[in-house]
Amino acid sequence: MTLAEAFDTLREFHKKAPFLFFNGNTFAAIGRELSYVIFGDIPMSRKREVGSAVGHYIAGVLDREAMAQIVEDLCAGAELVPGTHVKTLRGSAHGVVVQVLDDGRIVWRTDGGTELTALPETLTLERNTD
Amino acid sequence: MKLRLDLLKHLTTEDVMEEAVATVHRFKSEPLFSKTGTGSLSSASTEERAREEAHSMELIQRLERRARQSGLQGTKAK
Repeated sequence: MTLAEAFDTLREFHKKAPFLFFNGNTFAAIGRELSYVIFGDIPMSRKREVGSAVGHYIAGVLDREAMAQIVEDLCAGAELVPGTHVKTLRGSAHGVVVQVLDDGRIVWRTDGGTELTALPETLTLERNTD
Repeated sequence: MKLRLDLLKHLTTEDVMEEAVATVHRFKSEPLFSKTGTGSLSSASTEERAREEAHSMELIQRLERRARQSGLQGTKAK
């Protein structure tokens, strides 16, 4: 069984509602804990977002494709160089890398023109939608 | 990226139950998903997001401790 199939199964269990109450948190917690453990080596902030995406999928408020996309994006390694199009983990801001500082932090400019400094693990690659 | 399937062996029902109990308030208690086809999950507050981060870190450390202990016991058994 693949990890995605395990999440599908948990979502199905939630949907079948075997308990009178608290079906959602029971099955979402199993998925979230599985993701925390399996992705134990990725940075903390990313791991939290992966767990959140999995929990939302099992809870029935996020579709499979979106969940898989989020998990893949957050687990993908990327070399951020000036000119790379990036977004924040939750996609709330988009922009482009301006400079990589000596200590590894990233200076990037949002689409709105604001220049920000961020840790590399808090940014993901912007997928080309063309 | 390495998937930590090795740690999965040390995950217990109690670990999952702890997380399930801590997030009860974010879910509708009634079986909404089975009736409507759409579930419900309220947004996490800043404090809850911080707690999730601390919990995931603590969980990994706990499982790594168990893995070390079981490794030690295995060595002693030989």
